[in-house]
Amino acid sequence: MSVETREFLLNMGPQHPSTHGVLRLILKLDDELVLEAEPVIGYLHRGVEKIAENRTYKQFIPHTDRMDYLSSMLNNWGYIRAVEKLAGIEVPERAEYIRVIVGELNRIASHLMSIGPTGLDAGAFTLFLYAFRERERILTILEKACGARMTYAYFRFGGVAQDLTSDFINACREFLKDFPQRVNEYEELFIENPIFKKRAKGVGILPKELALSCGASGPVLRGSGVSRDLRKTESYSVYSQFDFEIPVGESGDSWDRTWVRLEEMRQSTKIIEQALENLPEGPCFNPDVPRLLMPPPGEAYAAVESPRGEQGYFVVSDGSYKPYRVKVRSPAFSNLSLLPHLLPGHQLADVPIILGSLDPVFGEVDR
Amino acid sequence: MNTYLAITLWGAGTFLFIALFVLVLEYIEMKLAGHIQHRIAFLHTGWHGVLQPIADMIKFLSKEHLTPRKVSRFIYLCAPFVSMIPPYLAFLVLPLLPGVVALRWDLALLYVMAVPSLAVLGPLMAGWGSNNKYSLMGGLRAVTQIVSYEIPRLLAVVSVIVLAGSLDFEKIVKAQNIPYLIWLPFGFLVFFIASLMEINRIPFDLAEDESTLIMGFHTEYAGIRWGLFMMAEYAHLILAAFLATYLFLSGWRGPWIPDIIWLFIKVFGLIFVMIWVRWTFPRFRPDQMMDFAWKVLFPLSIINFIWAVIAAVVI
Repeated sequence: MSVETREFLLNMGPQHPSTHGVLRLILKLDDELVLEAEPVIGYLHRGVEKIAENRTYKQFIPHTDRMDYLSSMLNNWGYIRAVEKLAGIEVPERAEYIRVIVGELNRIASHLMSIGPTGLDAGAFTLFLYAFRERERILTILEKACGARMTYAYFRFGGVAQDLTSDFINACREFLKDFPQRVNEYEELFIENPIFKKRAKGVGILPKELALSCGASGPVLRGSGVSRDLRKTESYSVYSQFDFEIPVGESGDSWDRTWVRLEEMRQSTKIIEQALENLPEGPCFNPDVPRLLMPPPGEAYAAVESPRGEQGYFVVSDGSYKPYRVKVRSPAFSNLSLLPHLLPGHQLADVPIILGSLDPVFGEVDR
Repeated sequence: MNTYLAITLWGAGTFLFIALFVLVLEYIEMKLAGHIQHRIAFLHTGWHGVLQPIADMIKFLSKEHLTPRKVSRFIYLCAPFVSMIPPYLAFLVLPLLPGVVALRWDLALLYVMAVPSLAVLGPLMAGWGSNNKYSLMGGLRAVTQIVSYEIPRLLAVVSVIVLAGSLDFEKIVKAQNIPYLIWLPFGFLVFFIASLMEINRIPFDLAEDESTLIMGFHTEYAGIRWGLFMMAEYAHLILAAFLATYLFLSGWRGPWIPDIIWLFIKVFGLIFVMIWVRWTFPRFRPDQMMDFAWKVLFPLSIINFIWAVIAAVVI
């Protein structure tokens, strides 16, 4: 008797608890072994780039919030930088410091939302809620700065919308006081947990060359041992004035990527501390920026280091009050393109771990 | 005739006892989980939310019985019961105190090891009958798991039998002037970990691994049918705690306070540890679980068995 066997086709998502949004993965399985993986994206496409062409420069700022909704500040920042470069707008130093402070706070919040759900993917439910606890505090602090908890629209051309209040600064200092201890707690509880190490070490190894050729950036690239962080390599804004390090992984597996995020939270804490210490006096916006911005014809590309990697905006102006074209270079999209390379040869149970370690946000992947 | 009546009454009593225990356990688990996770957990149904498990039960019972269209109906509908009945049957022979037992039987331990294992048919049937790929994977994982843990677990139990020279719980407890935990620390460890595998909870909840398999074998179940799976899981948990207490912690024996209180202190202590583990650890991967069971637990249980034989000769 001969028994015929076939591959097992599993459609994981778009409604699935651990696809971090609306990713659909078409998996070809041999029992638990993944033979082939094909990600299908586009379920959250809203045509943000097209919307930009029908808005004034300023009106597009809230739309950037809604792309990578976990790090809205840094999305704002990328767009604002591109337009400032295009129009040649000067930014007062205090505004840059404020941007760094809120940006780094947002980075911590976003990394918490990466590490927590990675815990959830691995089954450590408690870590997820611990991460939410800390994130809640950050959101409350950011609310004091701009009145919103997730979609901030706080940045303006030539500065920020409002100055920081003493309330914000006190809350921030309070937070920084016990946050490092919390990070140690996560490390002990989860990152260094032998079961998690077993689950994530050697899983989803991303070689340096592949990472570079697929355009990976952020913690995904740094996990593979490439020390590229725009805050250092381009040292935009006032980042050159701060003392911080770029954590770099060794083997490029899921554990390294998670660890890089954990370590980056520590570095961000350091940056915020320094920024609060040296916060200069002065205006928090450039009063010369006109209400209706009409940059001269031309084009500009500017990028910031978002929690997911190089968040770039390419803005083309035809001299009118609306951008002629806005192209977003989404780091999560590039990182997600690694999936078909990373998944084959792994177990089905590794899929959520690898996906979680890439940390995609689908608002940004699909735009 | 009278004996049958007595057994029926005892059986019904046991069932009620376990059903109540499950409700209490749900409350304890949710509260403990809440405190472990820096949450408050439920507060509003009764004093500190004590009525919440009852409210949950009412909710399960009043939900619509959805049967998806292309399931194999008979298997799908049977699975929750197949999963729930065996662990409940096991309680018939567990004594609360000397003599306080539904069915006194010399081979009680053999029965307790054999019957609850049938429960794995439940997940397998649910997985196959649901006509859902995730369910199927969950069912298959449940079977892989039982194949992995059953042998080390049995070997750990056999070492106790060797020491006590009996399969009767009362005699086993009576033989433990010093709890067997002292004589057989590895045996206890193997038994406890294998029990964690049996009760299908983190770190070994592979059959319902919600990050990969949505809800594993019970993905397609809702309402009280899902509730039955949950009750089965809790019944297994209670059973595992009772067994570990009888076999390794000298059952109801203890100084100063009444025996029954000692029994429950030990049982709840073990349950607490299980819940604590559940809400702290990440889960294993299926192949790692098998690795662990065959390459760590199995040799450990053999060593423990040899040690038990030596100890039995020496004692």
